[in-house]
Amino acid sequence: MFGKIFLKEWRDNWLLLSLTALVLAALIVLGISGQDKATVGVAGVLLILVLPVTALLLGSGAYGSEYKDNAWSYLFSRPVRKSTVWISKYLALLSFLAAAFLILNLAVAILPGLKAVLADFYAPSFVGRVVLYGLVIFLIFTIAYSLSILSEKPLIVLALSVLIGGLIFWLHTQFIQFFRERYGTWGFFAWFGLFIAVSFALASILTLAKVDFGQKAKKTWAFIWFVLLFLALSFLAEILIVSKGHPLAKPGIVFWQTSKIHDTAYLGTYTGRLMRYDSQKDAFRPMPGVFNDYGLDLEFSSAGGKIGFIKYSHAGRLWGGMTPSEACAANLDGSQVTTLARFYGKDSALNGWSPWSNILISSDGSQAAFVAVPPPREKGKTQPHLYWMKVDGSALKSKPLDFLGKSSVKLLSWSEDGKDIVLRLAEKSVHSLWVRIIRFSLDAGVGRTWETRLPFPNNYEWIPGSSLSPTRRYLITQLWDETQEKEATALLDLASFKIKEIGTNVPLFGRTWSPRDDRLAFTSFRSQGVWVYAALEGSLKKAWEQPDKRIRLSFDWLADGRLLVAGKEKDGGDTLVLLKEDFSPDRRIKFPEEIWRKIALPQAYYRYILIGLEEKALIVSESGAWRLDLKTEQWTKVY
Amino acid sequence: MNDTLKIEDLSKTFGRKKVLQRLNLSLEKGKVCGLLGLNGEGKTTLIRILLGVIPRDAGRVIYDGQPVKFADAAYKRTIGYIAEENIFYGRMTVRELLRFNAAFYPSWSGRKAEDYLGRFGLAGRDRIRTLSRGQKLKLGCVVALAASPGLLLLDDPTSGLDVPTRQDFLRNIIREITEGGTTVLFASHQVHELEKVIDRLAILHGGRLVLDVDYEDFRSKIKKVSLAVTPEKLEKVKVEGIVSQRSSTDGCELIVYPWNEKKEKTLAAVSHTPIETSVPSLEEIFVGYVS
Repeated sequence: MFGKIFLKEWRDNWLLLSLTALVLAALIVLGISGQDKATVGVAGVLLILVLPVTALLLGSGAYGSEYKDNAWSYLFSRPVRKSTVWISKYLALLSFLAAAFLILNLAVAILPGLKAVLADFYAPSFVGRVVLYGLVIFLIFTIAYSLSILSEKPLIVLALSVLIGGLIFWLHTQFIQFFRERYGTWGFFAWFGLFIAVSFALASILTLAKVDFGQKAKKTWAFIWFVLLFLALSFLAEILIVSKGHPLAKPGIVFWQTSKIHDTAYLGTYTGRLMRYDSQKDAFRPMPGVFNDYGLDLEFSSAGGKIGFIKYSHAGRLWGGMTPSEACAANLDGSQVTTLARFYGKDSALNGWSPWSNILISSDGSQAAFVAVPPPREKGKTQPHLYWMKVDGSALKSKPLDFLGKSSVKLLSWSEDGKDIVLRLAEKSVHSLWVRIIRFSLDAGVGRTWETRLPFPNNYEWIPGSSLSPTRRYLITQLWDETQEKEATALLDLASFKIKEIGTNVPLFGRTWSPRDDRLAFTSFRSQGVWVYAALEGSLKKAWEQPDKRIRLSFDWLADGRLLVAGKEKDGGDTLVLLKEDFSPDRRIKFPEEIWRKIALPQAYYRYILIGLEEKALIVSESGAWRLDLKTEQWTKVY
Repeated sequence: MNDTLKIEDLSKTFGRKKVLQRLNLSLEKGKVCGLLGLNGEGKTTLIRILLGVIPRDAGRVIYDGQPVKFADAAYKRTIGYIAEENIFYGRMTVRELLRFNAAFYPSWSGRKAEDYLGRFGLAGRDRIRTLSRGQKLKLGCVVALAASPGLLLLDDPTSGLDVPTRQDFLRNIIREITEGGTTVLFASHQVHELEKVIDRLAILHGGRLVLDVDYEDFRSKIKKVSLAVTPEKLEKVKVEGIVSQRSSTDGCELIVYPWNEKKEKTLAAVSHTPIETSVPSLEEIFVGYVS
């Protein structure tokens, strides 16, 4: 019986099957014929659209043909359980979809022209994307299918499915980081999957037990009930996953920013927490009291042994979200948290003000500074002010910054004598980004200024990695030469305001400063390796050639100034390579299979982070963190 | 009891319309029960409930001694169904549809199916969407009959059949299968045809069975009476069991059930002329009960 209905569904949908085959044929032709941008674009659009559209059409039309002329009464009058009809129809259509899905993705994976659709094709990452894409299609199909039994009009089902599917997808993108951090990748997938499974199971129960196909009014009520129950059960599903006993609820921490000071690594999470790797105890500890939003600034002052941060809280309000409530300083291990200034409370000088910059600590660790903007109706003070004080919060001083305008501001460095602060101002317009670096004397105001205007604001803001050297002497910045229409990456010496070009028309990725503050390692889309720029000599050298450019490079400096690279080698396998001073390979250390397997899939979304410390390396990923002792080559699980 | 199907207190409401109200009906094995009713009176609804296509609101259905639930499917293996409008999957050929159905019915006989195909003049290769309404109906009969059903539910199938097939169906096929032990519930409003085949008669009106009788016994007890009397005078004598009454200038025409000597004497006494009795046609009986 199952087989008969299964086959019937395949037979009924041959038109769609041919359509999919046609698209596939088009893709193959495109895949063989060319690699130019337009071809890849067309192939990409086809590829992205064909499956969701097929899923929608299959799902929403699943019962449309049965409603036509009351055919359902014929099928349901056969000696076959309604659940069998329901499930075999579902599986038949799903298998149809899965076949189309597999064929299309195989075509993409195999055909060289189509690979270009995904700029940097790499199998594990591709599989990860396919899984996520598949889940979305599965979701669309299941919603459409579940709704199709409740309405005889495929168009209404189609519209509703797009609406509900869009809503779920929107929620998904809104909360993806939140869920990933709370549940881990697999927990998140389970949440997503359960959402679908619940909707499906619910629709089945409703359909089989309650819905009288002969009555429109009853179907409408069933639909309303279905939506309510669907929402209620999806919340229940969420609670189930969150509950600790659930095997899939293992929370993962998704880090996105790192910073190192001496032998200690700091990792910022997507939810604004700051974790610290304690080298002595070999463990990750959350920094107490530190809570920040996405822009967590991890460029600490390394000389002062202090960290400055903005604490978020409800600031005495019962309702509403968290707002920046205090500017704080603490020791690098998170101890001795002191309040520099409070942004609420009538007894505070900065009541109602908002922080407008990072918290900069002076090189001796005795003072802190930040920029704040006054509340809208503050009398007298309408300009943003620079505030500076001792790290215990005493001796608060301020100076108005009348040149600031609407610019965002970042405090870059504090001179050794404590008299000058270098600020970076950035102001975006529709087509450009205007950047000014200003030396600001705490006594005399604006001093030396360097400025540039960049035509592509996103480029500048987006490039990840540290732009400040550890001692805050150098800043990496972009330059735009209007006469030659040339964009360059350059190094600005914040002491002398002298500028040196590193390279032109090459965005630098993964910029990592050596601990001695003299060398900068980076990679770029165009090169297949790691380049090192020596700041003093102004020379550029290729430190590591990556034979297989499909894998993303990870690299970091060890505390002694040697470079550690993780990459794929020609002979296969994923290996850490320790380079000598002259960048010739010294030692190769293979990732243990079980560690590689664990970090490989999350890598499809966020690659693991490689952190070089003193004679050891940390591999941090969402699935866990491992420490590699470079002397003994022993791997130890940290969490 | 030798009942194939027993329906107890069955109720069904569509919105505010009470289609079936506490309906009771028993079908004896190997007998044909004619179910008469006006359009929209619930004949099709009753059959769909019996087939588990739509749920019932209340009541019990007992088939072969076992109570049947809405979600059950196994009991339908021995139930054949021929609908007035036969909807099949148009893309299939006749033979493909037979194969599709064969999977559902354990007692399916391929030989029987072929026999009936030949008997009804259907070709196995034909696509269903190319068949005429009558041909589809014939195909419906083939599907239902090839499964050798214990109970055959007929929802007014004969109106779409051509005359020879209809006659064959009514005169021969029904007899053949009932002799083999099949019970038939024959819903129709083609009353003159039912007359030839039914063993039992049920009339559905206003959601209830207004008549449920053994047809042969009923025929012997129901009479059409013509007498010369005014309606006012007739009213005074209070004769029970008047199914219908038609008055004209000459007198009255009554259908009376059950007819007996006492009623004959009472009516003869009030009539100016001798009363005339005859057996009413099923059509007259039906009209009498539903009007």
